[in-house]
Amino acid sequence: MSIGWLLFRKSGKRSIGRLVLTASAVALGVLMILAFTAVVNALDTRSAHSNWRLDIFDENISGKIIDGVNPVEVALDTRGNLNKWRNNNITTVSMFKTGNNSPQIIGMPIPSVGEYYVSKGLDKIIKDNPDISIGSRFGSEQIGIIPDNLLSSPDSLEVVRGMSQQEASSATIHTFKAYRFNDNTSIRDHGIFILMILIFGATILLFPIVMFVSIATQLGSAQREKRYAAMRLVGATRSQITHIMAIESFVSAVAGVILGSVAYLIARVPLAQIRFDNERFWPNDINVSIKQYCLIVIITIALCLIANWWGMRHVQTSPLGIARTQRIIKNSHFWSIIPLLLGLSVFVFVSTPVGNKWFADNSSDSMMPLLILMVGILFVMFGLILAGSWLTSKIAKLFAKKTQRAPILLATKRIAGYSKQVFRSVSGVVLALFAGSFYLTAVSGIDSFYAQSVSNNGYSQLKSDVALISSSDYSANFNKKLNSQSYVESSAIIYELADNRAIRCDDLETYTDKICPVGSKPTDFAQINFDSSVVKNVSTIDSIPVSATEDYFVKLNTNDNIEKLRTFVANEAGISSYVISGTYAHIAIVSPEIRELSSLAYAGIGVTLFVAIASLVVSTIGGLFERQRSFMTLRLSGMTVRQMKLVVFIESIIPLFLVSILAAGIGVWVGIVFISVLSTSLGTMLSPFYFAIVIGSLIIASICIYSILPILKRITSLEENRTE
Amino acid sequence: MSIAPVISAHNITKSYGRTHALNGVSLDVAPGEVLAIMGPSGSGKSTLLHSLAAISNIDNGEIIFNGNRIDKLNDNQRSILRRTSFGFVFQFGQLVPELTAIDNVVLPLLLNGTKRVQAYESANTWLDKVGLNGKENSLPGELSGGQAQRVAIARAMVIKPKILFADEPTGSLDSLNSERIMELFIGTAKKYGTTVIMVTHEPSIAAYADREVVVRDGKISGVK
Repeated sequence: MSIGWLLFRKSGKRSIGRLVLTASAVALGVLMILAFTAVVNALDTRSAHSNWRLDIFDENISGKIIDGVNPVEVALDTRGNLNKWRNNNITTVSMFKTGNNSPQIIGMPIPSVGEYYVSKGLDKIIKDNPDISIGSRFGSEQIGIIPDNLLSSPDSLEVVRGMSQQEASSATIHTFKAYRFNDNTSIRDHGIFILMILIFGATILLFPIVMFVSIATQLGSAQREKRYAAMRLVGATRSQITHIMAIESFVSAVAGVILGSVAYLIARVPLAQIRFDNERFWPNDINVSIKQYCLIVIITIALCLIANWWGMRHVQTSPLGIARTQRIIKNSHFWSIIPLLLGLSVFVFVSTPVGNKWFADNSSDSMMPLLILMVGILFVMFGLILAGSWLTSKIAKLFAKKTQRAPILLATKRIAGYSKQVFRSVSGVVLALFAGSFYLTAVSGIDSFYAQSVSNNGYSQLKSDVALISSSDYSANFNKKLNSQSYVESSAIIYELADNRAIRCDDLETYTDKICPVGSKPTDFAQINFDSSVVKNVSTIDSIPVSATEDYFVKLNTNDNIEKLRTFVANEAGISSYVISGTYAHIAIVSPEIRELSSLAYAGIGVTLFVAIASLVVSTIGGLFERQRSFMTLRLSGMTVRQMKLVVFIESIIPLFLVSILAAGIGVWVGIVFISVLSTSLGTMLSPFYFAIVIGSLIIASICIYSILPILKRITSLEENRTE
Repeated sequence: MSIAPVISAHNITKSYGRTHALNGVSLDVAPGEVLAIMGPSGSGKSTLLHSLAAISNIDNGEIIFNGNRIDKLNDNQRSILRRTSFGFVFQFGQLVPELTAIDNVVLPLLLNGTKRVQAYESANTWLDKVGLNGKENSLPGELSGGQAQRVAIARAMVIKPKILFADEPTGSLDSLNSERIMELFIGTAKKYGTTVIMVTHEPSIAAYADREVVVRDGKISGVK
């Protein structure tokens, strides 16, 4: 056993708290990296599950002619909108086998006319709602379940149905000829854009973790310096000391990796339950490859060793005792603020009328404005990190100048003198708060855009619980059958004119939020269009052309019965029909990706704030022990423990509050300016949840710092300092 | 001096910036001699001790130990020299705070590559000799100042050093404990023929020495 191992084993028991903390920091980091990688892998695998379907478009894969093979004609879209469940689409693949020698899909023979397969998610819905007969919209016989490996998620809503030759050759649908189906579910390369977003996200997420690990590994360096000095005195060489340091970091890193890996294995199950794009992951897709795992482990351990070495590099383990090299504390220079100023200048320019106009005018036909904005965002983000310590120092100096109170003076003087060290522990939060605030502000503008699009949507003129049915293939006595349905309260005919629709004035008020002009007769026909923007005032005509085709308005007893209506329409008017729900027309459909990314932004802010608070607490505790002698001197000089507590509290809290408010403020402002380029009419408003996270975290940080301050009393007691 | 000195300093100088800590000091120490270096604060006595013990580098001059120059040794060679030939007893013992008394004593042996069992046997023996039987597993923080110095003496003697360097070895102790420690310290050194070079500013401690040199302004100003 080497002396390093022996010493680690002997002294490890006494340093258990520090080692546990370091290992926990590493474990948290490993857990985050593994979880992030696993979710990215799961997203990759998710799309790979759909290769068989997506590659039907590809003329070089499924569409490549193979002699002697009778292709399967595949329609990947369906005319009409009956392939829906509530407000979600059911992906519908229609197939027609052109001969006996047609390609097959492993685990799912090509369905014949009337036959269909459904996904697990849809099967559950069908079974849970037997009275709706959803399956009958797609065929007469469900012959199986689509195999898991062909589905992106256990929640996917998909149907593979057989269609007739007549339907396949119909002019209303577009079919592709598939000579083979790609059963390879291997992951494809990312596009550069996705890759950049992943790197961007990983950087924001991992930066505070790396800082935390770095801070935790340096905890207790003052005590360790004492030990190293004593060893050097009795003849330990520098390389032996380095070896001992390396063993300590290595063991805590390995323990952290093991803990983190176990935590990840436990977290895999809840991770699979995360809904991304409204769908959960297959549990087996939440995975990291052996290669990725080994890479993560090696990088983590190497990072820990480097962080430890970096933190201890200035420590001169002289045999005479603790002596740091004659290190001049370098103050941050003004140049460190230049990247931030450059980034901000982009947004200052955009916020001027001239700049805004230039960006707005050029955005439609060039990528340059967007590229400039993205570069500006990156400059602001990393500029904040670079400028952080300079700003902290300047503001602390300003406080120091103005204050009359000794504790504040002491605290701000220290912050000003050690701004790099002080800022380091909270730097992670800068990235998270800036990126999160920017994203959430921008998204709130997009929400407003979608809300605006709803108010412009012609179908939003329908009253709730009203549905519009449109088809070119109604069965005989459709209207009579429709009215005999128990969930239908009433119906009315609407007429399709050349460029408009018409409805009797006495029906208009029942089914829409419009009324005919004063003086109109109930038998007049109101002209209203739903396919374009909302009509401000309807005009009337007194008769309907004979050629006008008929569609229907239906008032349902409740919108929940829209599904029964869809099934009825599918059976009585064909799958290519439309049922528009007034209730759903009022709901803004925001892209699920935007929603999910918002959730991720909240989670990112939450996690990084948590890590930043942990870093702050750890560095504060470490700082207290490192400055034990200074505090002892202050106490001997007559400073009370209460005053010392105030000094430390201010030292810790000021940088956190300062950078949090600054980063969040700049993030919000940049978000507002960014969105103003897209539209001058978009409003931005952050949710109360955002403020709750930021303010709540700052309060928690204050409480955490306050709760560790009693240590001061102990470390400045005479018993603790008899050898100082 | 008819017997060859165990350690000699020839015209050594050492500066810290503009401060001349040692200004041409020459000194010979005979084997088995107990030498006290005295002087006021800032006179350079500790710098002289650290230079002789190969802890600090000197600027000029030479230091000969057992016939070999040691001032030109590199850091590693100095470490090896300290753990094989020199023992140290400083004011606060300089013990490793996380290690027990016996682990502290065993440390230089293990650094030297001595087998563990043998090293712990020797350490136990030395703890017995300094009267710390039963305190083997105490941490430095659990020991009194006198007990910590006894551990330091055991640690210094366990390697059977040629020279024991002591810097204010009783500086942290009361007079009764100081006397006990000095008797143990000098008695042990004499018994094993170990040369002692100690820095002190207390005449009562210097009285244990065979010879006293007085350092003032970086020079030897007197010998008693």
